[in-house]
Amino acid sequence: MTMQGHVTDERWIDVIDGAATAHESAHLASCLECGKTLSELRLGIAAARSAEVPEPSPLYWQALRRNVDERIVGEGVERSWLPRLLGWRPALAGLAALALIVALYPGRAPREARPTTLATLPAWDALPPTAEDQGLAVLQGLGAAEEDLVGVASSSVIGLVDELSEAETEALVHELRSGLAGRRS
Amino acid sequence: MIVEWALDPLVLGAASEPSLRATGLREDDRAAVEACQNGEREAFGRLVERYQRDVYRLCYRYVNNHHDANDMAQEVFLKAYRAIGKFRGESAFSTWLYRIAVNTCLNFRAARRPGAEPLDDALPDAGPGAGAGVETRERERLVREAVARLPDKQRTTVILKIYQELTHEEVAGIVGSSVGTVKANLFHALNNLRKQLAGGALDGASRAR
Repeated sequence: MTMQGHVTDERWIDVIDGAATAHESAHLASCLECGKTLSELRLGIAAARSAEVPEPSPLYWQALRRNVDERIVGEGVERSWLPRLLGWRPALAGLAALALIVALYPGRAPREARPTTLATLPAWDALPPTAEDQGLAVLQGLGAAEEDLVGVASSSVIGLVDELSEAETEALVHELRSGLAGRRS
Repeated sequence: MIVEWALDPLVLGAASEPSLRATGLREDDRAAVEACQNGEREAFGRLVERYQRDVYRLCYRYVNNHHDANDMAQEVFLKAYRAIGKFRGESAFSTWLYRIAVNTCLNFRAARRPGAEPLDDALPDAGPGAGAGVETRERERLVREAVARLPDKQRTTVILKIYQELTHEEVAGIVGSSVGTVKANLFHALNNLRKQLAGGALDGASRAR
């Protein structure tokens, strides 16, 4: 209430809504000024409510729904690439990072030979020293036998061996073994 | 140009919870919203069908002609569709939708070039009893124009409270102010209407009661 006991501006809407206090109700019953204000406010509400929105054609609502749907579909087509692209963000980020690394990396320097920790092995010769090589004497003996066969074609030698009898072959093997044994000793 | 008193339609219900809350959300709205959020575009058609009249009428109150109201209504539903993934159900779906509608209409009104006031395209009734019809329509036109001349806050409050018949709390949620502010705006709006309509539509409204 004001100093004069009138209804304040903040209270008028509650009063219109029927939520006036007992004190306000008593005042309204006796105050012409507040009674007039209440009447005008109610008239204002009634006037506002009386102004209806013109009803569009019954076919309009279907057209509205169709237009909204078409615009959504159209917009969806235009925007459809973006969500799909965004869905690939992790892969795209990985590719971008890879490309960055390739672009910025200077390349690996050739690896230098590491010093080995193994001890160097002594040079190894498959042949024993000449003084200790028993096989050398055999080869020299064969060389001497070859000199005895000078002039004889190798094919003839093979033919001669083939023509030996069994006893002559055994005798030849025995001579060869004996000769080899004598040379070794 | 963006109107000074613009609302942020996405703030409402844009919390971080992944699922819809139970508060204030009608069950049929919840099902449709969840279906939309799961990519079912057809479900949004059900929401459009449910709220198209309210949204169209709300838009008409701002622009006062069918052509612009139709454009605004479509725009409102498109914005709602784009943002529905952020709707968390912390308010009624209608409250969220109305907020988008109010913001869209205020921005449209602000973008309209000065002097290009909307034309009221309500046609006079040429049928039987046309004389009384013309008088009624003329009175309605005067009221709509008076509402159109109200400052944005008062106009929005009148539209949401008187025409959309929302509670003070719902209006406060939509415009982002306190209930007390809503009541104050409504009081000043009614006073302004009374002054604008003195001797004209007020008398007509008095006779019509």
